[in-house]
Amino acid sequence: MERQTIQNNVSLTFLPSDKFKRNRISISFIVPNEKEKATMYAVLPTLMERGYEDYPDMCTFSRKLNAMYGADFSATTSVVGQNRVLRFTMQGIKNQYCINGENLLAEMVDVMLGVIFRPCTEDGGFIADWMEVEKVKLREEIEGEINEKRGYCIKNAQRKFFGSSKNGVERLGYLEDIDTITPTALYDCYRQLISDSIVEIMVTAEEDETIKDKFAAAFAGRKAASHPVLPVEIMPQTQVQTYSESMDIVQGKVCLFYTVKRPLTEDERYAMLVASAIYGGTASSRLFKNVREKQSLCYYCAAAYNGFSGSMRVDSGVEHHNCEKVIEAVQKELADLIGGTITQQEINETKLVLLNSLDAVHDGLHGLEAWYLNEAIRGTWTSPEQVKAKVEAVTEQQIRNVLGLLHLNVVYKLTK
Amino acid sequence: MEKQIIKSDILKEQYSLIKTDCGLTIACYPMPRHNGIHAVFATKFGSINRRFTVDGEKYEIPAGVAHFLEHKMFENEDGDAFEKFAKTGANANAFTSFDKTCYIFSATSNIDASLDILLSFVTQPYFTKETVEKEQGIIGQEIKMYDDSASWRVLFGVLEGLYHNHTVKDDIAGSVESIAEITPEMLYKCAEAFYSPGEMILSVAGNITEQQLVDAVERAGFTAEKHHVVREQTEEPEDIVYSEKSIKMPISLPLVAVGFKEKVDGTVTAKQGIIGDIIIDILTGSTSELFNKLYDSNVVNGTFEGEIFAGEDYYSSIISGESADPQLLVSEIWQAIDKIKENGITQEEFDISKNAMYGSMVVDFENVEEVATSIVNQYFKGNTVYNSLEIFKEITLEDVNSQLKTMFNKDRCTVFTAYPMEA
Repeated sequence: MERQTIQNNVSLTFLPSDKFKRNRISISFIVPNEKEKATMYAVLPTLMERGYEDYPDMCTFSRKLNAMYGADFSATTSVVGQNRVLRFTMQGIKNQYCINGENLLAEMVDVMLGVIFRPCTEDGGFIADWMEVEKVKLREEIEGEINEKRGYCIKNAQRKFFGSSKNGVERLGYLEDIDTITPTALYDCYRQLISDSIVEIMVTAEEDETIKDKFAAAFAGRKAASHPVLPVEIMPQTQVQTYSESMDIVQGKVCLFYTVKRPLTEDERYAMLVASAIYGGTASSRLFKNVREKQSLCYYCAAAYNGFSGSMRVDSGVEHHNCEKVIEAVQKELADLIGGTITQQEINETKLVLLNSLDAVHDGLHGLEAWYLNEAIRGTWTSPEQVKAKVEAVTEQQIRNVLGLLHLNVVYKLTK
Repeated sequence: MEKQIIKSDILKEQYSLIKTDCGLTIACYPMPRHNGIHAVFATKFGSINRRFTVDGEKYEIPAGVAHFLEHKMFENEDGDAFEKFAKTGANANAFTSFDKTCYIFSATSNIDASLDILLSFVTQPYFTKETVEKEQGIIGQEIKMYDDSASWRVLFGVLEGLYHNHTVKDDIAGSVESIAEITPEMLYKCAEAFYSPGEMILSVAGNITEQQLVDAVERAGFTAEKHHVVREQTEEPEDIVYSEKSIKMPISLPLVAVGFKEKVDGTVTAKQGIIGDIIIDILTGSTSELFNKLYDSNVVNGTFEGEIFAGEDYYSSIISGESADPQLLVSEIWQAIDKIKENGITQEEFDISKNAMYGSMVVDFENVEEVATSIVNQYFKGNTVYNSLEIFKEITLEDVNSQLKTMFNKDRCTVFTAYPMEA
């Protein structure tokens, strides 16, 4: 698939859609993850999701989407390394399934562009009443983090791990900043986002020149963005910092954060993909097999490596009295991989799991788009097939070497 | 071997349903453009099936046996299924719901070898006192994890309020106490009853052929065991157990659920289910007056939702969401119900909701996992996977308004709230 530049810092990619019942379009705006704007960037998508000039309230816009055979529209904010991505996505059934012969794909493009370029405004700002409602919702969402204990423990560990780095600027922003947002400040933030950002448009539909022309016209006259996509920033090694929070919960939680001692080379990135899966990424990983199954120390124990921040996270749900044992066991399993035996069978089996999941990337609308968006942010344009070849070439020694680059910075415990 | 081809004019697709000589049913839904497949090997044995007869002999089992058995069936004398699947690279798992147990895998290569593993494990039970005791510890942990989930607690709080006897009110995993009663003998008996080929279906969607599946079943060498299994339906009175209850948990906002026990005459039909979905969407969905009013007055947030919670012999409507003012939320829900019941649903509301539902039904056929799973769900209800698309065309506004009149009876309503600790 070809990625083409259609305007300054605006790229358009058509992804193959023949196996899907739906078409999907996403427009992602990529900006540096600045703390000062984090809260505004959290309010903005929810506010814009409510409607636009043609459908100027939530109910009318929802009716429009339902009339489009229940097309989905969503706007989200996420943090990818040092960058923030505001993504507007729409998906709807293909024209061939429309009962009355509508051109739903063309309508989807119009709705997307309407939401992005013609939001509802008043007095030079966003509609104040809407904004106040969305501010309350944001406050509730931030305060509601505690409701899901696994995520809550991970987020707190992450805060300690990233400190003041751009990697750690909160996806949902900050409670103390919510009240400072005004309709005009938010509108200015929106205008800056539209005009000064890196834009990735992904269309999973049959390639169509009219769609390309519409997007090119909508983004015409843009200047070059004042910032690039920011590169991977790894956290410096620290002494192990251990934090313990008390909460009246039935099952305790533990989260450990490791950093890499230096940035990984391209080959090391693929070695880490295999290494983290052997360590704790599959149902036959060391953490699953030994810590959960053999030692029965926990209900779950999994590791995940984030290449955008050079960090490895391990998290586990434990009986309160097993908390310390799990923390020890997690570190022992890592040490055993680095210094002990890793069998060829273990490596081959893990590679097979990864190869299967790489093959499956093309089978899901969302996964396919996410793959290429990540590639664009990383500044590479590698296909799942190319990664398969890299994964197959990873050796035992490379696995040991990359795991040896991990250094434990943070341990976070959530127990009674 | 008997084969049936099932076609959809709307989707211009088809799949086959094959009854093999050993009694096992195979469903093959070819999606040749996909790289991978999703396989589901399932039995109609879920958490609600607690009273049944096998060849005339009556059994009553404690809560959580189906789920416990699911954990243990992925293990035999030479190790566990995950170790075997690791050799093929398949992504395998298993789950138990209220009305079925499913063993699943997704893969893009080594499909035949993975099918062999799937079919061999689930039909070769192996339990010892030691392995059962160990599993009691693991599942105890799983139960505890759900105890910290407000939405899970609130759902079961509502179900316990609505149902006197129906086993749907019990947690799928059971309780630490109920699973302590489980013995190897009990597991063997349930496996014998519900895991014989005649009780099971192998449903596969994706890049697969019928012949591959038939060959896999042949290699498995199943023998046609015939057990006469009857799942007993529970006698459930029309009235409810309690109308209101609450708990406290470490959460930020109260979470409230309002459940209505709907009347069931015999078996709940697919048509009743779809009509219920349309009604609940019009009452609580994103286009509803109720949602828009409550959202903009900050009584609810994006967690607000309505759902039809139904199985073969139970049917309830549950409206739930986080709210800083649960009392106001409940009273607004009741007012909206009074209004919709008094005025009925309009043609426009019906058309828009039906349009959206049609879109979501088409989308269900996009992904191999959804397709293979939907086939199983519909098969156990005696339907084809295209059944909903067909029934859906025939539903009229009159059908919807007529069913609406029978729903949302305040005398059969339970409100269950989880409050934050400080409240």
